[in-house]
Amino acid sequence: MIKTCAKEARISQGDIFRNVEHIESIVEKDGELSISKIVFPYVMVLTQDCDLEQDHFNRVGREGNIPKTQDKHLLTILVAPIYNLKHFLEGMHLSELGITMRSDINWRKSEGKFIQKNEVPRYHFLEFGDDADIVDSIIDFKHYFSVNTEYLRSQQEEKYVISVEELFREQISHRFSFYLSRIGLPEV
Amino acid sequence: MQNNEYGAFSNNYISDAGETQAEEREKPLEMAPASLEPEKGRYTLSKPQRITIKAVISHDKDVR
Repeated sequence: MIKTCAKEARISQGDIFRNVEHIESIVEKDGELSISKIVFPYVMVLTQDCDLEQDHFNRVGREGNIPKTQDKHLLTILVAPIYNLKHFLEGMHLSELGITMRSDINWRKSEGKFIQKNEVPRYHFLEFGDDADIVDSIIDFKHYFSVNTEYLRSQQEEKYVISVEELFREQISHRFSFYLSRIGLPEV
Repeated sequence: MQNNEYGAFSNNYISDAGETQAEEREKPLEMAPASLEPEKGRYTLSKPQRITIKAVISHDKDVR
C-alpha cells in the first residue's frame, strides 16, 4: 500500500499528473509539418525534490527577492508513466501505440509476486489506499521521459492528481536510481 | 478527427494565417473523461494515446 499526501504549491517529486504529453517527433516535409505526440494518462515526477525546490524558488524568489540568474532552472522534469495493472498484465497497456508488451506475467506466481513486492528493478507496483481513487497501477522505469519544465508548471493546476508521501516517493526515487545505474554484465 | 495508418488519431489542419502554424484542433484530450470512468469504486486508468497533428507551412513572400 502506498500513502498519498496533500499538494504543495510547487511541483514535487512523487507528484502524479494526468494527460501529460510527450512529443515523439516533429517532421517537416514538402511544406507540411507533422507532429506526433503521446499523451500519457498518468505520470509520476521522478526528478530530485531538492532540484525541484531550487528551480521553483529561482523562478519565484524567496521573500520577494528574485535571483539575478536562472542558474537553478531545470530545463526538463523527469517523469515515468503509470500504467493500469490490468492492462499491464494483459500486455496491452501500449496497444494504442501499436506496441505489444509481454502478457505472460502470472500475478499469483513467482514473477508476479516479485513485482508486487517491488523486487523487480524495472517496475514499481502502486497499490493506493482509500485516500486516492486510483486503481492498482505499475510504474515502468524503462519508459521514463522528460517534460519541459515551463510546460508542466503551466499545466500544474489543471493536470495535478495527487502526491505520494515523502517516504514512499523516496523509495520510488531510490529504486529508479538503482534501475538507471545497474550494470549489465556480459555472459561469460 | 480520423484514424491514420497507425491507428492513431490525426488532425489535418491547413493554416491560412500566412505564417508557420501548427494549431491543435482536436478536442482537448478525449481520453481524459475515459480515464475517470468508475472501476470498482475507483477511477480507472486508460491507455496512452498517440495523436498526430498535421499543419501546412506557408511562407509570407514579402517578409525579408
